Amino acid sequence: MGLVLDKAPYILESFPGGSYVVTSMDWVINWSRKSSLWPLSFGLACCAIEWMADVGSRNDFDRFGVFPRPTPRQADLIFISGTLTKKMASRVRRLYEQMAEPRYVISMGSCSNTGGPFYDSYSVVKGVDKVLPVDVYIAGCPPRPEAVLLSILKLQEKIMTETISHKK
Amino acid sequence: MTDQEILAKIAEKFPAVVESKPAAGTLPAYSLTVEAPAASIAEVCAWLKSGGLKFDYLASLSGVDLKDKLQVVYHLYSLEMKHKLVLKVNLDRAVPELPSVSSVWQAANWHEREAYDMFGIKFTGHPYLERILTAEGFEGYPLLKDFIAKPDQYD
Repeated sequence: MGLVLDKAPYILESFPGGSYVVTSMDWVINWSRKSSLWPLSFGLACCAIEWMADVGSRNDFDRFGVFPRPTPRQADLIFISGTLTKKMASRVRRLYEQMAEPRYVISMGSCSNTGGPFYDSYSVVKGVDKVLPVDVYIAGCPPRPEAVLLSILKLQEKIMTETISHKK
Repeated sequence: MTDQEILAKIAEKFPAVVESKPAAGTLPAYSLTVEAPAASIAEVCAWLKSGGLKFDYLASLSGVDLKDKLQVVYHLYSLEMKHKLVLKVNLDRAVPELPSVSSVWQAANWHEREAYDMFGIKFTGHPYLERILTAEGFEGYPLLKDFIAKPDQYD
């Protein structure tokens, strides 16, 4: 087998006809999930512009296997990138519900974390966690593209702690 | 056409439309500003567009809350004759109602819906005067000075 699993808790066995890797199901499932996080191509406000910088070649989050998908049916991850208004809240919830499980949410920027500068507004949701379960919060207004990359690494760390034996 | 010529033409046709000058000690006006009575605004606008002044472009229509009264402000341009005009209409705070100009300029349709949404100004004769920006089931008019937001499940 030509597959190299860095740091995998594996046992390499030699059999007639080739080698095999023996590892735990948890490890290999989590490893495959964290290595192909496909986010929804979705943006709400100015943070979405910063997020697009991560899609581009300079920051390029494709090297972590993060590759935007145009439909929630194919997405594992949704970035809430910007101000979430009350009018939009039910729509975002619907997009989230259309995503296949397991699904992850990254809240990007002050608006999405807490409402940010629009905290006293009549029309803005005071944090996307009123609507969706959030896995990783990124601080900043807007966060730098490097911070978005860090949030992906943090989410990957979180995914590696999951187990298939029971739902979290 | 100069401001004075525009003003003279308007005064000749509609004597009730008068120039409104900024109060002493405040900033000079952005451009020629006139005030019109609410009831005749549709006729005034129709004439401004199709009469000799040719105000063919409505740049913005906005509501203003001045506490003692409400105001609707029209920013008009003539792309053909290269002149501009600001038209103001004062409204009673208790009954904010005036005729719609959406049949004169198509752009007024959504602008009037926004003014209705934010200030509760009723534009009579508007083809579809419904809220345009706030969420479904929103109560009250958020840009009024005495508006107090009611907390909901998102607050």
